[in-house]
Amino acid sequence: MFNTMLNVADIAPVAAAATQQASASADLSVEIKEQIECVVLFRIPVPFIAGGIPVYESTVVTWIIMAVFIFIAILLTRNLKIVPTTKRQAALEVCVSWLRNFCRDNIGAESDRYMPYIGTVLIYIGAANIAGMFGMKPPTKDLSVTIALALMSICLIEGATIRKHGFFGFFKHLGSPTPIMAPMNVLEIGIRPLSLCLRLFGNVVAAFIIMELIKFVIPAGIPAVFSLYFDIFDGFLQAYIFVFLTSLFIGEGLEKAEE
Amino acid sequence: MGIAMAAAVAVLTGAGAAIGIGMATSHASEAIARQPEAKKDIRSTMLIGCALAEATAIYGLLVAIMLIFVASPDSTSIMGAAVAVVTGMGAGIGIGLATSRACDSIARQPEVKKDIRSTMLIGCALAEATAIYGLLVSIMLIFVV
Repeated sequence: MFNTMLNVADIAPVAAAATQQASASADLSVEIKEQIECVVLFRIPVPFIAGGIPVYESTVVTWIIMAVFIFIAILLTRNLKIVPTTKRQAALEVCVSWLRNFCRDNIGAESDRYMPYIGTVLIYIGAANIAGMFGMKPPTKDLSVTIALALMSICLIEGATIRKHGFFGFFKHLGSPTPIMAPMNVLEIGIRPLSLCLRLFGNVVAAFIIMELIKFVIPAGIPAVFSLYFDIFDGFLQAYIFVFLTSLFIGEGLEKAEE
Repeated sequence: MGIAMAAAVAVLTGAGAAIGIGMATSHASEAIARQPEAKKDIRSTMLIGCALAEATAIYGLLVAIMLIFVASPDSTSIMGAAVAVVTGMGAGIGIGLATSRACDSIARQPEVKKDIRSTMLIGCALAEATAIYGLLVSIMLIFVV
């Protein structure tokens, strides 16, 4: 009798722990599903559209990033002088000349026309990827955002080729180096943006979910170490690779038909 | 059972990344021994390559996590999703190979390090594209099918 009672007393905490574990796992499952979903924050009422235009969280975070960077840009470019006297201007000039050299190396002689776009995308993706550190959901976690970025890139790449070599030059360049390569070149127009947008999306969403898991399991302290890798290092590296590939493809399009 | 096996297969993608990173690191160490004054460039090249190789392992981890927490247990496509993401194994090894040779090349000819690094990045990005195709198919299998 005593023995069985002991057994029951033994089992009870174990069973309680098991149910607790199961509920924790279910919590985690719900949490991850919530994090993956793109939330509609509010709707702009518009006539003729049922329910209005949905505004997603990624859009709102993008607005915040825009506001922050407009503010920083105004702050940094106030009373600039030809000969820099302030540290602020010297630092800014170092950044701009790094960007200019980066574009010149990858795009070539006509890089100055494309530099503002490349710089803007670099700053935006960089800021978007580290938004997770400030308690926001990174906009690049939303597949629609990365698809839009990749479409912008491919339009710029093909547009630059058409602008340089004309409409017929563009089609001629599709058949280079030999006409047999034409199907591959046409496929590449679709494959390039696909891999651009999915690389960014895959990395950001993976980093974000893993960070959320770590935060869920270990609440304080240790997540900061992982955040250093997943948010800062991986985030900036992906931003760099995105603009690096974009600028390289632009340079390739400009160069190719010259042969 | 099905999900456990599928998640294990998915996370196996990391094996390729481990081999690739190991190769890259071994060649980078050799390269630094041969040309100690270029150690900064070699180390940063290795870091970029390793992060790219690591990304394939992260894709595997992502799919494993999604299989465990998001996929419905009675779905028939979980094993397919796991096998699809294992494509990244090849990409991990390939990126590691490219990075290891890039480190060697920088040690041999430090003055063209910029060209070497951008060539390596193009190749790595193309190799990683294959891992991305695997990830795409496996995400589609989890969410769409």
